[in-house]
Amino acid sequence: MDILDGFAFLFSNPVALLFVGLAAIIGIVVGALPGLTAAAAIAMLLPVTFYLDPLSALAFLYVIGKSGRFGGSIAAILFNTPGTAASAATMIDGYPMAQSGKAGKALKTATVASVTGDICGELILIFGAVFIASYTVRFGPPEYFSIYIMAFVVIGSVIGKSIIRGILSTLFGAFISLIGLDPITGESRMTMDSLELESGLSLVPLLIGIFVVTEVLVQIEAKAAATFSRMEGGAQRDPDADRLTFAEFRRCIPVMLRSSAVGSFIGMMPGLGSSVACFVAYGEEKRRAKNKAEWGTGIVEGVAAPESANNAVSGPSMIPLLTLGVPGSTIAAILVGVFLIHGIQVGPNIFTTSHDLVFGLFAAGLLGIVLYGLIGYFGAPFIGRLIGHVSPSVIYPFIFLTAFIAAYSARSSLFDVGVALAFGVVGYLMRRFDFSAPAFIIAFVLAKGAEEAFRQSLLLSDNGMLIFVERPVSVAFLLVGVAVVGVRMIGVLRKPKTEI
Amino acid sequence: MTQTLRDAAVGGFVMACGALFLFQARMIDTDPDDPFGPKLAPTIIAGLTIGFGLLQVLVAMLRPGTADDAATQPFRPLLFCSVIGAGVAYIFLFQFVGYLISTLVVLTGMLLLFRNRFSGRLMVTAVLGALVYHVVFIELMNVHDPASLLSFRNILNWVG
Repeated sequence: MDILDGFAFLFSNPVALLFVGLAAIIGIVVGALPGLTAAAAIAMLLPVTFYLDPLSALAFLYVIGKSGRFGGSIAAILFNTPGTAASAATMIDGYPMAQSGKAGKALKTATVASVTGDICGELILIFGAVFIASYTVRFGPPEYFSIYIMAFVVIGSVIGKSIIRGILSTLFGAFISLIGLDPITGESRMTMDSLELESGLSLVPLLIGIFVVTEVLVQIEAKAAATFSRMEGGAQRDPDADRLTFAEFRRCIPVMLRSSAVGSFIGMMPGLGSSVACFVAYGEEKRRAKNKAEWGTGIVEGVAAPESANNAVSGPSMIPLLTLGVPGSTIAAILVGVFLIHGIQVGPNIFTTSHDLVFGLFAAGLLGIVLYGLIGYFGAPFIGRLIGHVSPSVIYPFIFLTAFIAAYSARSSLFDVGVALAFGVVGYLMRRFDFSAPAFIIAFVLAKGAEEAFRQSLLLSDNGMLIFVERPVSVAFLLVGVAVVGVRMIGVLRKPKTEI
Repeated sequence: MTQTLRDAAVGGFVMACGALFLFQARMIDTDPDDPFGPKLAPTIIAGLTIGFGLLQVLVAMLRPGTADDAATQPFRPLLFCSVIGAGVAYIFLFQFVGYLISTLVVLTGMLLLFRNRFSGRLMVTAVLGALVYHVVFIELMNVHDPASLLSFRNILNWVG
């Protein structure tokens, strides 16, 4: 069993174990802070991983992504403010439960559901990824280029409110990534004679600008408009209602399993993330329920469904990354950078070239789930109260400074700090005008690989661009992209007031 | 500003960006015998950006929305510029007075921008915060401190 090798590899590395434990705690705390996503936390902590071995670095960031998704439910349940977009559906039943004195029960339900969903997703990743990789290893540059195009089109069209602006976000990200020396000819591209731009823009300051500096700008405006997230707990604590009973747990089992399946399926699709999964699962379970009228008033199933689904996304969202080298989510895109920093090429061959590392990462994921489950089950109310006592108007200035030193420390470059600041403004404008920051970042990470596959394909081809429609797998991926945009367009055109 | 006008303006801005991208792409030196050279991908992306910008303008005209943007958070230029100004000031201060002092100054400024009342407590928070950041990043993680005038390490060495 490969996963047992993974556990052996993980347990032979005490630093990695320490960082998995740290990640479980950091993820929960950061996830519980409204506005600050797991991706933002990962961006700020990315420079720390430069000092670590590959397993510790990857496990640290991967587990923060998992526990961050769960942490979002704490703020959703206790403060009626989702810590992350993935927890927005948890508020619908979680907060009414907290208001009626069942905060402990809601948090324990969220923990059990998150752990169930995450383990299901992780198992699908462990067994599915190897199977898919054994097939995709035979793909050549034309197939890869079609996969990249499919990913651009699907992510651009489904990730944001508007199809056009989503695709434009991917185009912006792709263009920005091409700045620097051409990897094949060594020619300078769009550098405007700046020496710093010759090596291209680095991922870390870009991430920090787009996710962290932008969030500080948004929060300071919210503070001025007095809509700042008031993090006072609405929970009236009732010790008798703090338990998740066995009868309630049994009632939640089918809900959690079905929602985990929904989340896992959505997780495999590039661009569709936890925020989509939680609402789809909540809606589906409510549709199936006999007690529809009780949904939204504070029932455990209403917490279990979105929490299972949003955490089930985590594992399967790594499948496109590990089998094709194409990240399907922002966190996966950041992990690509970490793999490359440590000299590991992501793609189907990774299961043979870095076998121990990959299965060690899977083992770290499973261990991280158990750890955040234990912390969440016994400590979530305490973490919630702790966060409720710290004012966001103190937290955000510190986040601003952390962002700057994180941007600087990656290459000891003040130019990178300037890049983070500039992309903070870009990210703010993107958010204000409904462009998609995740689509921008994913395209930034993917574009260089796409360009390489494109040029290699054209060099291989005797018929120019026709090479992309001469191979069945390549055509299939292109058709999937067209179909997804088509379905989304039909949905939008049917609703007259919806943005295209 | 109505949503239609706003969307059309966004489309126009995107087209201008696309034109700038195209100009930059055309400036790339390339071998005339290599049709798939470094210019190809940026040119295609620039062309697509202009095309989608135009599509955005057309959609805004042909399919106008009804809502205006009054529901969104109002833009506060003074606050926005203050945060960006704090960032720019940080970059310059960092080079001239080093990490510790620049962090203290910018942290105090940011705490005030976030409407914390100026008090002894705020100053203690800023001083302790700056010290913790300095110890963690500069002393423990060995991040390069470019300070030339007021290096904390130099002062410590001098005291030592």
